[in-house]
Amino acid sequence: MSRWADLAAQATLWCALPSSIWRILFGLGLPAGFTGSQDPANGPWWGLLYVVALSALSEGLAFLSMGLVRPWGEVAPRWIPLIGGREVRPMAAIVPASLGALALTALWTPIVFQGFESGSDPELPHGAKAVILWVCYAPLVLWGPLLAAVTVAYAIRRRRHG
Amino acid sequence: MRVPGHDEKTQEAPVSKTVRRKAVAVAVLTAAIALAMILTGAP
Repeated sequence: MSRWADLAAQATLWCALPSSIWRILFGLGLPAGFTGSQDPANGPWWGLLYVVALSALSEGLAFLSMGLVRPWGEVAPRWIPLIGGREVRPMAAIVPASLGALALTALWTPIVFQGFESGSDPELPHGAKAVILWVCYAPLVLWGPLLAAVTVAYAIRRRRHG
Repeated sequence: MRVPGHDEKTQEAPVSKTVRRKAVAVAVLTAAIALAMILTGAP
């Protein structure tokens, strides 16, 4: 296991973390800069549940990249029904991880580099609020490339060692 | 017997030490974001 691949896999967790934290704090009602119809206070009752679930999903997906650098990415853990204890076919990990890396890069690169385009909409964050939002979401731009790098390392390792 | 990575002074296992450091980092990050949101005030 190469050290850089292990660090890159761990970095994906940290890339997704600031936006997840921001989202939960926003859901809890901390002033995030959204007003009017965008204000969570005027949103549905399940708003907090939604942002917590979205953050859990985000971190869960980021955690999957650890499988590319841990033994459970080569042999499925025994507690998993049907496939537990069996060898993970390399392509079963490489294909979804590659597609995920492409999707994440396509999703976050434009958003982070173009900003959140608050424009003249008074209900969206402006000034310092917009900067906080951007700083929390900016690390997501690294998620896709890091996952791609870890996937390449996994593919090379599985090809060499099976 | 000396265990590699084991902290002799604190008798703490290396895994728990790493987990604690990460938990502290998450707490600090959360506090920093919350503080930034609060200090920039209501829109």
